[in-house]
Amino acid sequence: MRPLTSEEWGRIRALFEGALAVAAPERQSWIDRHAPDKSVASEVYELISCYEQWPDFLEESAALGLVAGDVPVSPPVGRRLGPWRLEREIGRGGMGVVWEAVRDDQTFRQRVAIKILSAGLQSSSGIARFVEERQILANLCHPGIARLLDGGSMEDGSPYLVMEYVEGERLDEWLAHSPSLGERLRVFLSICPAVEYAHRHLIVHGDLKPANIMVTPEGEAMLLDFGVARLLGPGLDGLTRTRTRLFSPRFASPEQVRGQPVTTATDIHALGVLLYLMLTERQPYASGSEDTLEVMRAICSDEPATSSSAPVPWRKALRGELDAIVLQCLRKDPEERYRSAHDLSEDIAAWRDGGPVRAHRPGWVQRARKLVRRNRALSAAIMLAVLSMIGGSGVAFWQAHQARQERQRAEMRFQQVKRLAHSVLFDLHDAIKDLPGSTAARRLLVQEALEYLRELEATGGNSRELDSELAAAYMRVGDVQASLGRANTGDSAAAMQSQLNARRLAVSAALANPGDERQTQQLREIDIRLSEVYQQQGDTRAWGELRAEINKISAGLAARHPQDRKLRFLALWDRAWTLGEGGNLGAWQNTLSAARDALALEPRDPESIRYLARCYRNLGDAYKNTGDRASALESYRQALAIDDKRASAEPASAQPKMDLYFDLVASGWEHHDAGHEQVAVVEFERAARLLRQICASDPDDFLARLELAKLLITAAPSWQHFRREAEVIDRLREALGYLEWARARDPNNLDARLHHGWALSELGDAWARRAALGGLQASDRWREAAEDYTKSLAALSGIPAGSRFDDGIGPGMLMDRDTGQLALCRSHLERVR
Amino acid sequence: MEMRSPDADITGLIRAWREDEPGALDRLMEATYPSMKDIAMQRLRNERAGHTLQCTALVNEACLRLIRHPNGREWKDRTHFFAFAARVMRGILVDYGRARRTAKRDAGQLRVALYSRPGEGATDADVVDLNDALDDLEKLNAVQSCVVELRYFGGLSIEEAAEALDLSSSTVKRDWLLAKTWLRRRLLEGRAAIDQ
Repeated sequence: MRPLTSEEWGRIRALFEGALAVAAPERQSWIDRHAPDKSVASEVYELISCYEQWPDFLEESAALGLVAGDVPVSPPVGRRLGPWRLEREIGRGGMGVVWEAVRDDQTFRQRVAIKILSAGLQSSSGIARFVEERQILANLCHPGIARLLDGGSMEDGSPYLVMEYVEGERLDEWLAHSPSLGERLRVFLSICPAVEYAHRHLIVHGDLKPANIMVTPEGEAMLLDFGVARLLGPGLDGLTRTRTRLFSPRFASPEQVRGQPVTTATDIHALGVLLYLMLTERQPYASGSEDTLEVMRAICSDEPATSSSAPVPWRKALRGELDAIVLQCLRKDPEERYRSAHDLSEDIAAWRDGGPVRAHRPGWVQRARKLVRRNRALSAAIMLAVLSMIGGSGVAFWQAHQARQERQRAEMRFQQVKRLAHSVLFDLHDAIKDLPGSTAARRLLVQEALEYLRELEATGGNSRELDSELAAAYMRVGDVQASLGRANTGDSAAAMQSQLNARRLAVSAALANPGDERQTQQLREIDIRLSEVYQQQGDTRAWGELRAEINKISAGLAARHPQDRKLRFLALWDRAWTLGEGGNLGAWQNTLSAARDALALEPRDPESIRYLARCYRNLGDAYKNTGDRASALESYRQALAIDDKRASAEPASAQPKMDLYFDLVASGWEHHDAGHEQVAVVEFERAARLLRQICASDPDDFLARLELAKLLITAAPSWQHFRREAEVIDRLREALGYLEWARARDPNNLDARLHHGWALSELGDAWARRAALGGLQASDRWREAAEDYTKSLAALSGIPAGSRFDDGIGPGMLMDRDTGQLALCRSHLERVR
Repeated sequence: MEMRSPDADITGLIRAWREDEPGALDRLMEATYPSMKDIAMQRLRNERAGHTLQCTALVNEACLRLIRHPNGREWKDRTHFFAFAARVMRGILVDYGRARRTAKRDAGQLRVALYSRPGEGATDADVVDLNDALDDLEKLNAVQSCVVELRYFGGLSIEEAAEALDLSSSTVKRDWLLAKTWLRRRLLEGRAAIDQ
């Protein structure tokens, strides 16, 4: 291209603009007619054709998000979008224009709101993201959230959303009628459950503000516009998505202003700003200032004035607890805010009803829960404080009087400590066992309890009386050390020892109390855990023998209590499990129907609900093995639906999330096999998000890390399908990190060893694929691949030959492949030389 | 010799720039850029390879530190702030791109998703190339290169860019379309030359 003079450039500019103004097919002839000479004409023509080819070039700004995109061209009234006819414009904002519309295809009449998004979101990646989010949002179904009904794009590519039409007033309009304090709180309390619901579905609103909240004629709040909401948590690619987002500075949180990740705590902050505004009719930050930058600065660094300092008639009522509630929402550090919208609304309701605001007067279980939540790496000192809190007088009493009472060995003391240990083992342990981040605390608790019991055993007393308690303690200690499906620290050798101790004591307790079925049930539970440890260590013979024992116990229990549906179910479950997870279709069908029977009696029993979901998953596996893909997918879908509900009902618990993860992987893998890569990837991504949440909240959770590594390996072929090679390598490396950590932590864990080898083998494949593309780095990549295959072979050698992955891939098979691939790498490297 | 605090310098420079003193923006950049860049680079080091740089987060953070500055209230003028942010963003991205180029590392090279077409997926172009092309454009037409800087690096809308440059929206829109198309072609030519 020769250099142009500014005069020529001016001419080109005029012609370019003129040509753009005419219809595309006529542009060339228009240029020919108007250009002074051929060289200018060809210059302009090239530019025009370049523009036609790349209209989106540079349209997605490097700094998108500081300001909204262009306002879209408004479609005229009466225009149709699919079955909808636009009636009137009802709003306009940074994201786009909102229309009221009706469906009028004669079948029925329905009123909706249609939001047409700004042209600024029209790049293809923007649209892909939009479509993905639309799908997620369509699944949100709550009376306090305007339902997303439909969506699509207009001819010019602008995406649009069809939402439930909400009658009522916007919150800011409603506030202009000066409602009473009671009315304000009632409306605020109706906002919280909707936010809580969305959070349970891992969706953050991200832009809660009065303009997005409607108050219905019944005085209930209704949330609009989950348009900027994004799925919670980092994506599978391991990057925390600090993606630029659109938000309203007035209601932004410090982390949003700083461009840091948006979480549920962001919405809690926005709820705090809303509450502040509703209570005081002022903004908490830079009130009165119109300067966006000043507001953003204040959000990050100013402490808001207490709400009771506002000149409102009810200011006295705000002083004290309500002030404290508002300020707790507005903490700069997301960690210090309320953990959930539910906690927040409970506190407000407690205040309104004159009850104690929970944060001020917690019971010991609540306080222990809170301590565990807040202190992820719990120190022994904190746990001692918890213990002294539990016992109240218990521990302190025992310790202070130990010297004096040493000679007396009073029965009273014995009973007291036994009761304390029992309460630690059962009440406290069970209260925290499903909380994320509680693994270290659980270990401390059960060990403390065990210590007390051992001490009691050593100082005499009726030791038979303690056997059953000690067995329970050892079983729980073992659980924390290593177990299947529950959070644990990954120490299978210690777990084996603990479960063997538990078993010895449980057998002796059962012999001492022959009629006591509780002892028999406890023995069954311990045996199941012990069999899981054998399974982890790959000891199939010991596993088989113990499973036969378990079947005998549970069959005996069921036979002695023919009316007990739960026992009947457990017997079938044990038998089906022994036949293999997914091994026998008939066995799992029977077990499922027994699970339904048991649940019919106690429809709310959490354990029975969990069993039902697990039955569906195993049934899915069984169908998969028979090749009945449709039934397998349907079974997985049922399991997913149940566990989804459980996870929403107990958002703080890690166990339902873990179960949900297992469902997602089973379903995702089946979709992958069926070639539905798109679905598989979505499920794998969601599974990874769940695991990352669990990992992030619990630095000691061995299981979650091991599973995350397995997932990253499992999902690799699906990623590869979308040609995201660089991500495949990143993920496999991440998986390797976890697996190396896991192997160091528990060298006996077969799962970790096998997957370590597998990850290396996959990594070798990924490098080999890249190397095969040629280019300058090809030989480096062949070398990289060769190195990984060599490491994989080293990792796999020494694993018992009979060990297999769930889907039949054994170490021998992998090693054969590695050896072949290694030879391939070497031949390539030879050629280079 | 009279000692002047750097803070006073910055305040003076911002004022000079707001009063449209010639060369003031360049001097302001010179005075503040090193510390802004430090902030940005610190952030970048914590990012993982192969990942698109989150521009807004960087500028937000860098500018917020400046705003927090006791004299930060000088930033009353929104358009001036955005024009400055756009210049900083461009500087940071290009410096980072250059550093990566020198390191000649295959993985982790900073590429900004400059354009995408349906069906083809995102295609990347090097931000350093874009910067060079933008310099060439500046020689042809300084206003057009300014428009691209504000729109692409600063994230301003057509209307805001028009306000910042004191031009009509329709003029800015026309300049934008021509300028970005010219850049597109320039980059394609550059790539063709390398491929040959």
